[in-house]
Amino acid sequence: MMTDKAAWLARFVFLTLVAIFLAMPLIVVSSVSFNDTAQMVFPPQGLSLRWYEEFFNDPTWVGAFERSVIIALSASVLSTSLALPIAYAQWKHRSKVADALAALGGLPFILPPVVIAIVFLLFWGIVQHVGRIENIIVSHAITFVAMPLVMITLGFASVEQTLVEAAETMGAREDQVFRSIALPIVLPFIIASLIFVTIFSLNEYLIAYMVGGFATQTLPVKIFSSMRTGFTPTMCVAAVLFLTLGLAGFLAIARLGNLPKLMGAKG
Amino acid sequence: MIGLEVANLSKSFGAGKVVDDVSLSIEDGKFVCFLGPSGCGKTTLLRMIAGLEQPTSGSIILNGRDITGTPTHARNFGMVFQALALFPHLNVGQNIGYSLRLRNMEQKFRRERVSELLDLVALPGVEDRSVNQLSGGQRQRVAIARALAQEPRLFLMDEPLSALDAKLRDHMQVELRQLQQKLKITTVFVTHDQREAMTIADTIVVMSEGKVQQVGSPVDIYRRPANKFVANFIGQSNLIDVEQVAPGTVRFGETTFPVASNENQLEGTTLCVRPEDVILTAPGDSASGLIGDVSFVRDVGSSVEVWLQCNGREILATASPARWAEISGNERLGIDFSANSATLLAS
Amino acid sequence: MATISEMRPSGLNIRGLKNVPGGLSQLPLIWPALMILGFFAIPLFFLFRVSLANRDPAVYQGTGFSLQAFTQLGQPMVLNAVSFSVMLSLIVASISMLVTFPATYFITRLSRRAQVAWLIGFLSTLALSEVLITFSWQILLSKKAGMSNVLVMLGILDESMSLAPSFGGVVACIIYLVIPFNFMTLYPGLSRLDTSYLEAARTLGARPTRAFFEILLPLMRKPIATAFLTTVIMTIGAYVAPIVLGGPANWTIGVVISEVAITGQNLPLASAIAILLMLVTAMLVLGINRIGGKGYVS
Repeated sequence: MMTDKAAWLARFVFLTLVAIFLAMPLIVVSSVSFNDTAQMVFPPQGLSLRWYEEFFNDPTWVGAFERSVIIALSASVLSTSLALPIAYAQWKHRSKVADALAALGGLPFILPPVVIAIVFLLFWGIVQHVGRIENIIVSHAITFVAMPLVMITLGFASVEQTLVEAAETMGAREDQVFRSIALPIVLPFIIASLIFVTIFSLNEYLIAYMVGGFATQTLPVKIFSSMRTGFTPTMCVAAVLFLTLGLAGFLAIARLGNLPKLMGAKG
Repeated sequence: MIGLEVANLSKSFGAGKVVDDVSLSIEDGKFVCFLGPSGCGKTTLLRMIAGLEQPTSGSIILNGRDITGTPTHARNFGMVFQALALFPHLNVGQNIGYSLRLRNMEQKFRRERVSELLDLVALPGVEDRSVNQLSGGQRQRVAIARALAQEPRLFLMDEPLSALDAKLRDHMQVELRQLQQKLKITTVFVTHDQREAMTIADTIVVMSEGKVQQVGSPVDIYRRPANKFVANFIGQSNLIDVEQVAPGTVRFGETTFPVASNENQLEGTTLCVRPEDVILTAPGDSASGLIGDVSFVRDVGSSVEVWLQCNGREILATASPARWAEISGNERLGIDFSANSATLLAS
Repeated sequence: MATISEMRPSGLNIRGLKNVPGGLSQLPLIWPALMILGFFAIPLFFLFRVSLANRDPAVYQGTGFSLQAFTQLGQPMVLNAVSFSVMLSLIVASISMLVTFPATYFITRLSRRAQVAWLIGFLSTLALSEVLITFSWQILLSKKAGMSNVLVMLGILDESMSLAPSFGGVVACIIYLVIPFNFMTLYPGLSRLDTSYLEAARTLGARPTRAFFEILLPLMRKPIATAFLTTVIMTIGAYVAPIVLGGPANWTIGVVISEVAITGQNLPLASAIAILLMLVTAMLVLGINRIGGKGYVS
């Protein structure tokens, strides 16, 4: 009994330390964002929302934020629209073409991010289409397509074949089977991929920096350049904003569906 | 001699009591089956004996020593798991020899012992095979050999045969029983299959809702069920509500007749009769005076099952084909209960 | 006897259409095929093409054909950065595995609610931009607002101090970046692990630590190798953390590539280094996959 308790305590302490390690930078950033002084002081001195006011009154910050959101939403829709036909063809027709596309689409995920960034930098330069917002959208959609591919494939895998066969015996055509049987089951997975790609695109720095120009600065790029020139607590506001958005997105997924299963746990 | 004793053992998960104040004694060298429907707590009870779950209260005593707090690895109980849990990264020989390696047995002796054990489970010479190359029955044997390698003080099995097909399962039951008798090892076996329990065990512990319902030999439990649950769960029975008019005499509807009841069950008001103990006669020949209308007949070849309506109750009887040939012309039949076969149960 | 589909008039054989290569059913694949070929396969081809070009100050991506860029790979700036990156990634991957594997194992044994909470926590840090995390660590390691102040408050340090730039700072920050990815890779395998393997080991007489090393680790070889690999790939091309929290001595190959491409405006060389990095990564992938084996539990 004693050894059980000791083991439990050891686990608890260990996990708590990991949790503290993970939470530490987030706590520092968010508390600095409520700081009353212009200096980076921790623990914070006095509570105020003045940096939030400043953030939302500065068109360059708000502009960068809006651009980030537009890019992220567009990239997520584009990325998912690429993944859905591939995952469907793999599931329904065991298509070799789809397998090949899935392999190619998964490649960016096993290449170091800086290689992907250079590839896109080159590409947009060579096709002479530089510094445009759609460059970032397309690059993000392609870079992150592996995520919706995996998730939507997981979704189709959870459609039981007997359901499809039952529908077919009742006379459903392929498109009707897709709409009435597969889609409702796969939909939560599609929504999860949209959220995932949005959050990842929102936070991506290197590609956005390399393929975008000054006019298409995203929030991470703006934070990075301000970080190189000197601190302001306004940057922390941006960080808190992103943290909140990410947290909201994942909470939504957890509410909407089975998060552990989506992440690969059984049942 | 009493080997294992379980005293007032309880286990709760959250609000639910999975095992509720169970006390049991298991004699040395016996083959004991925990039998019950799924969720009755039999597996949890086994896992507490193995040390894989800590009881909420109560104690487990082995040969007079309290082992409730002893960790699993120090108990030296061999266990066969439902999913077998053969280590996929080790071959057959390494699986069986794992417990010996843990006890620092020399490689040479270990190989000898492993090959002895494989002979014992009738699977000689497969030491170097991968466990994934074995058939279901072979994996079963390897799992049994692995659990026996450490010469355990207690041999525990958690529904080990449930994954096998019916024929192989029957075969393994007999083999397992013979193996146990040969080794004289105290064995606890968990199953939900009453036929399996009847075939294999010296003693059956019937469980339901975390409580022990009855402990006894297979025949005991079948012939003299302690309560309605046991009577219903083990085999088929007719449970008839009766009124006791005098010791040993009951009234069912308008009819009064004697039953040879168990001394301590004299208070009971439910009569339990197995279908094969219902004797069908021509309407006039019934000694008890009970008469029933035949409502349904099922001829399964080796016997005939007959459903009758009697005093507003349905009664099931089985008759031999020969007997049925004599009486099958009648739409009404007399019903008798053979001597010493009808038991009164407490309601 | 003829089956129903054989009896169907051939003109109505809709099912057969599916099996024709490029039949109607493949039609929706045109969209992803065009996009992925156009915006990934072709760009990847450009990378190889540019690496074989001459540097040309007038043309950003260079002109002509030569092996000039590849001959420049031998310079110390590149080689040092490559060896530093490999070392850094192996250190980071090892430390983060030592933390994440036990943590993930413990988390998969927690209640479902607790698991969801941990998953959300990990996902949130995983999704946080490299920039934001590096920025937080910069604050954390700084003199004025950092954790040295906490250490002073606790009486461990006499005076607050700046902990960056330093190798340790870079390592700590990258570990923070990769831990959630490690967790996500290990989580499926560990949560699907049949607990009866470990219970069986216990009934056979194995102490928990021995069961951990002799049963759990070998069974998890594949996911561990995969997680290790993910960390290595992420770290080897890390950019933001080394540049912000490290000095020039802590520059990874990722930093060198961007310096060459953006500051140096030498795209042929940047492409060649990127290809070198891909080769090094491919070698590590093959090596680590070999160690990982085929795996037992999916």
